[in-house]
Amino acid sequence: MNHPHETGPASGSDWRAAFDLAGVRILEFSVAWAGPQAGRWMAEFGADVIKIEHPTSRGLAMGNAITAEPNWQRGQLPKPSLRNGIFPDNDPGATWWNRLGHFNKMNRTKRSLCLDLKAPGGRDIFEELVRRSDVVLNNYSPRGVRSLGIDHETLRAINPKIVTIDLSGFGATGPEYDQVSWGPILEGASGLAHATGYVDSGPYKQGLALPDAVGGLHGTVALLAALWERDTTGEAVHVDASQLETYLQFAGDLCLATSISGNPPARQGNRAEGLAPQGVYPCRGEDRWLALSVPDDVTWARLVALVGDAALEHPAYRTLAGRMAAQDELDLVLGSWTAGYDAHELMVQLQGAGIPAGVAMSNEDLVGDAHLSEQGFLVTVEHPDTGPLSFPNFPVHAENWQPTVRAAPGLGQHNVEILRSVGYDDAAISALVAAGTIAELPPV
Amino acid sequence: MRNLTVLDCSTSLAGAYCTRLFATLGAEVVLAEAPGGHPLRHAPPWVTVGEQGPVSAAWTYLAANKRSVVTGDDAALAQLEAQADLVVLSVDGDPDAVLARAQRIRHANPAAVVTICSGFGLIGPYRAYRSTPLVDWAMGGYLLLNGERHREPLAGAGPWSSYVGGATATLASQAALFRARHRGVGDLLDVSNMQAAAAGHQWSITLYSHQGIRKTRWGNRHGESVHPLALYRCSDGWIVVGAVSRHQWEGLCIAAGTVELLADDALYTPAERFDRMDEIDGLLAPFFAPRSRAEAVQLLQEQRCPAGQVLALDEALRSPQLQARAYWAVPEGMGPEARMPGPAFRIGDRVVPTRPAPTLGQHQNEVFA
Repeated sequence: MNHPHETGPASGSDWRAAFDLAGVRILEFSVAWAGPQAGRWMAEFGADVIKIEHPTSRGLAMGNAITAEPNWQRGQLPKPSLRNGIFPDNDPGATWWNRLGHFNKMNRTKRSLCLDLKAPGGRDIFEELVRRSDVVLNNYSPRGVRSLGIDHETLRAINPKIVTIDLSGFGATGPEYDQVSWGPILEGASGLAHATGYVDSGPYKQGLALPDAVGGLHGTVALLAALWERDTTGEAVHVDASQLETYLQFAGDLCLATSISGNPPARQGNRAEGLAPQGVYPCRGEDRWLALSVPDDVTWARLVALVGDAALEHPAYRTLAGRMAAQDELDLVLGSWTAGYDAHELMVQLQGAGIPAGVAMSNEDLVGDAHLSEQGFLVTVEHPDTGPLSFPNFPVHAENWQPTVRAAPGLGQHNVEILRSVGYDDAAISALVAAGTIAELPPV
Repeated sequence: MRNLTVLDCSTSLAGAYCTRLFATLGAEVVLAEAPGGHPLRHAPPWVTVGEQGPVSAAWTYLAANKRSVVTGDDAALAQLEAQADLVVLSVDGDPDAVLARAQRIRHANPAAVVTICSGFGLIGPYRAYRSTPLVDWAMGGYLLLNGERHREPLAGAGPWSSYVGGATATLASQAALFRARHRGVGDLLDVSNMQAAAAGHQWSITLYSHQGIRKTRWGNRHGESVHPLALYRCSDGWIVVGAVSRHQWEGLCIAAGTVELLADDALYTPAERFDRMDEIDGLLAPFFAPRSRAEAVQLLQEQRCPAGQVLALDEALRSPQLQARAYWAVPEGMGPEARMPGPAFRIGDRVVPTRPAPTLGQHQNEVFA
């Protein structure tokens, strides 16, 4: 088993040698999370992913000066104008567009072609790349796809073996296909935000835009399946993936139960059928919590022995039915017990006794966790504009391969090498720069 | 992924979801069940249809399109393992035993990919820990970010953090299958729900590694760098509004009739709006309160401001969008109203029909024929 702590990360390794998707070229048009994540994982499998970016695509407040915050302290929320960038040490530096933490996480291991498709010669470059590529990936709205001319029929006419994937919010068809969305909007449309909540309140969306992550996961699954299909038939393949539909895949059981009963699921906080007690209990310190589940009577007996409170020893509690009926009382006893403990120490104690329990991990906890560290959770990436920084590594360990990990590209970093590879000489490239068709800087 | 044989020996949600994805992609998935049946056969939620006793909805959904055999003896199991392109295992208490089994399979069938799903992975101090969906929510770091700041953190309404592990196992297995096809050499993959969830955070890990900020939860508001991306109450329920970009903010203010906000240049910065969210929401409330969800969403979408209704699940099942796209599969024998998700996405014009979840050992003879 090839764990990163044993052999070190593959940072800087030859991207063509890492895995058997080397040789697959992907053109990526994407924003935010789902599309970039799908592209990144394909890059980490060894594909050559070219992110095609508009000169304004890295955004922030165009035209505004991006200035540092002189008195900022680590751990403090930056001033509003800098907050969205997640700059290392909150310093935008001279090249802020290459120092964006969220961009550099989501787009590592790709190459950047900063190209305005609608500027003179832009379309020609793109079509030449399509002829030499395997996949065109986007997570734009269907309206954006049409506007850019990157729809399947158009691209198949250029390359009859092209794989295209549209990873939109609602899908490429249907009465709502053109609605604009973000992940939380899809949570609302799925019925799953409505089902989430405390017993006495709700609905609730997720703190992270989970449909984006789920869309990125399934986008990668879809892309790999489409490449497999293309390799089988030798023909172009189109994937129409809706992030709403991929999110609902996580709730097939609830959909089925609701469709038969006619009743949507009741909000039940952290409780679940068949597990009692189950809850999230306070621990020592500020905002420290422990999740605890009792799946069977044997586990309950272990918990009673560990807690040592006579209030838990009532014979009725020895059965699931008895515990389900007394959850409020049990939660009070358990909550007062856990409150005296450090969450991590208590998790170790409970798990040592064979009782499922886990700390409600913060981002700080995850970064510092010894278990994740041993699994090589973080990978250090050396970036010319930021120096070395840590990001979550590819989360799967394999016996025979390691992910390819390289720094996210600077804006337009690979313009010249990509254009040369498709036949443009220096004079032609200079003309494209002069026309504003390609760029390495955002407009001032 | 036609022409692939997947042997599912897992007993976990993550393993079941991983192989469900393969089944809906056209792979032949064989479930090797112990004589007592897969644990999901006995898992809630339960549905009752007609004269039938309670049936597990989770099983009906996750086992659809799979075939079932009962493998009481090692020789029969070894035969299946030797013929599989992909074998999916799960850890239920003893990671060493599962790893040893995986290595035996790899030795007998070097071209096979063997994927092991677990709560915590095969190495590290938590490797033998027990997990449940709630523990997965907690340890992957999603739980602490959900719910109200002044209350306990809140899990979602299902085991979605565990499903993240399953989907991650699928894509990693697919990638390894490409390698196996090209080189004739399989692989052994270790996929933990905890690491899959933790790696899948949007940028909260980056927020800490770059700036030392401990992210917290904000109820139905989104977070430190943007507002509104939040729920608002209308006359008949809730809607979600996401005015993130400049033009979306302008669209919201135009739709809501709060154009005076556009005169404040500072509010064009999404994080400034977060710092002043109570002030903004107070001004927006009179727009939402008297309107129905549908009316408010329509007005906002007309201005290209992302917005959508918070539907109850029974409403989502009737969604014209999902119906028009023929998203729902109709499971056999569950009554005319029964619906569950079909494939996660469309690949060309291919249709993979939904076959019902198997009875225990239903395909014994044909699989071993």
